[in-house]
Amino acid sequence: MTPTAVLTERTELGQGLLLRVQARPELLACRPGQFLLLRCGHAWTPYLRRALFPVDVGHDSLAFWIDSLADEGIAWLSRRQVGDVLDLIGPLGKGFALQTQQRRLLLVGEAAQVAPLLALMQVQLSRQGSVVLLLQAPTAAALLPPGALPPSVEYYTATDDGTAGSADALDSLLAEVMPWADALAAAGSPAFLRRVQRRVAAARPEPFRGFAQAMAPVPLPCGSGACLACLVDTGRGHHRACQRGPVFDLTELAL
Amino acid sequence: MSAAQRRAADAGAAPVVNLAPRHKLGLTLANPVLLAAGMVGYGDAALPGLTLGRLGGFVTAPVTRRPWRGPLPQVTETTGGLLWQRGLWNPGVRVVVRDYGPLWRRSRAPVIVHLAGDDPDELAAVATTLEQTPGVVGLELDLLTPYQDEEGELEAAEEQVQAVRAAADLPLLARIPLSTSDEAVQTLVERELIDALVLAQPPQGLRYRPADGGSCTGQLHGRGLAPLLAARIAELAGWVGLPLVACGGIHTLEEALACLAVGAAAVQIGTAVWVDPLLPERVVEALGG
Repeated sequence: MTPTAVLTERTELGQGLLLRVQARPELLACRPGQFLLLRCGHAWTPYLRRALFPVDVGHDSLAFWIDSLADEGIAWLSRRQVGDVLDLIGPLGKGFALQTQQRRLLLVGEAAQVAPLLALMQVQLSRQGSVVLLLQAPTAAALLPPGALPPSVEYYTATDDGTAGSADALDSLLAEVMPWADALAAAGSPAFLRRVQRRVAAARPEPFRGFAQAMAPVPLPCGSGACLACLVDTGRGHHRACQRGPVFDLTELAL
Repeated sequence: MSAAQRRAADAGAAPVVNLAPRHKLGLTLANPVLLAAGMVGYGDAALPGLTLGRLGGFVTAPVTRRPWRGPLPQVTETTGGLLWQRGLWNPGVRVVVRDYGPLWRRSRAPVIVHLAGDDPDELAAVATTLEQTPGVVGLELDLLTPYQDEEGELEAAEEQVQAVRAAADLPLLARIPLSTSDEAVQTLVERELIDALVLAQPPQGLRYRPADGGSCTGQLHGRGLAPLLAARIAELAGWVGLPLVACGGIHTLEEALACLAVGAAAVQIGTAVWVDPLLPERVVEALGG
């Protein structure tokens, strides 16, 4: 392992953990939507590095929110303690691009994939922009706690079991907020992104390019572009999400 | 480590290696550390920390005459390794050369192109194009398959090699299965079909999914292959009069040096570079580079 970061803070947040690491300068160049690759120990099991999307990047540290321990590599990370060293490389891929005039940002995601949206939220707030966050989760417990968000962020939720907003609340919320927004960023499963695509098409029949961007819902096993397991169909050919993405224009994703 | 390599290491220089001593052009590399087919795509897919220019060379992802698209590639982890179902995905030789030829021309690392397919005419067409492409110093071709009739297969392999030979005067490395018999290896060597033997093609693996009764298949890459590879290299090194290139399962400096010590002229590092991109350079440094 080549140590490039040190775990400095480990706090519970919702169902997951917020991990802050002090990191080498090159890692701090990670922009929202870009990712880092984490080596999970020496033992080659789990074998591959894991793609991590920081939720916040500071001047000498960055933070991750890990909310599911189902993956063996993420579970390994969750067992690290303050002071442990990590082997991270990156940043990799191409992230979100917001134009200066895009001031009203609508973030819409499934809770499990919210990390890159939170990083974008921080950037938008730092340039005095406005942010609305719509989050979908199976249950209220899987949602990001409202207290974890800056007060200036408008936060709406929808849950499959109705414990924090009804399952179809997302569609009505999207319809309501979309006319206000001049930029939209989405992250979630293919089914979730298809739903957002339909809503964007209904609200904005001719959205300008760059209005709606989305994280491609694909795995990033090698992170370099070699394995091709992250191929994304854009309708005009297949592209490697780890090189051309993982952020794509939502309208070009053939989901 | 061979005596020559030890001398070079003692002298503080990585050992220069010729992987095609029988070929009129030869295939001289600055050191015996290469990357296996496709591990950095066509040279455009290296992780931070991996400096291709420090290596003896790299083998590209597969190239066919026409674009090849099949089922979407998949990677599935197994204990200590992974199954990679890549297929032959590539945009065809014309587009590969258009898009990556400029990169190969500038590359400090020699480029060996992995030919794919089994039709001799198609292989010849690809080889013809590649011979005229600056930066390409050699070709690699998968020959033979496990579990098949070797007699018929050897004839097919001979046809493929002859077609490539007739089309392009470039050194030719043959990557064969680990299970290839001594007799088949002897035939390849005696007929002077190839310049070097690469051991080995990744074996096929399967991972069963108890949850839904399905399974994932693909080429197996992982640490467990390293001792198998070293054993076969050691067996063949005594009598095969061709350079042997060890490819498969090498995940540590020690495993790379072990292959060289038992008779490999060079090593190809595989999926380990996706996890440990500094590994190839550590091997070069250990050899004195």
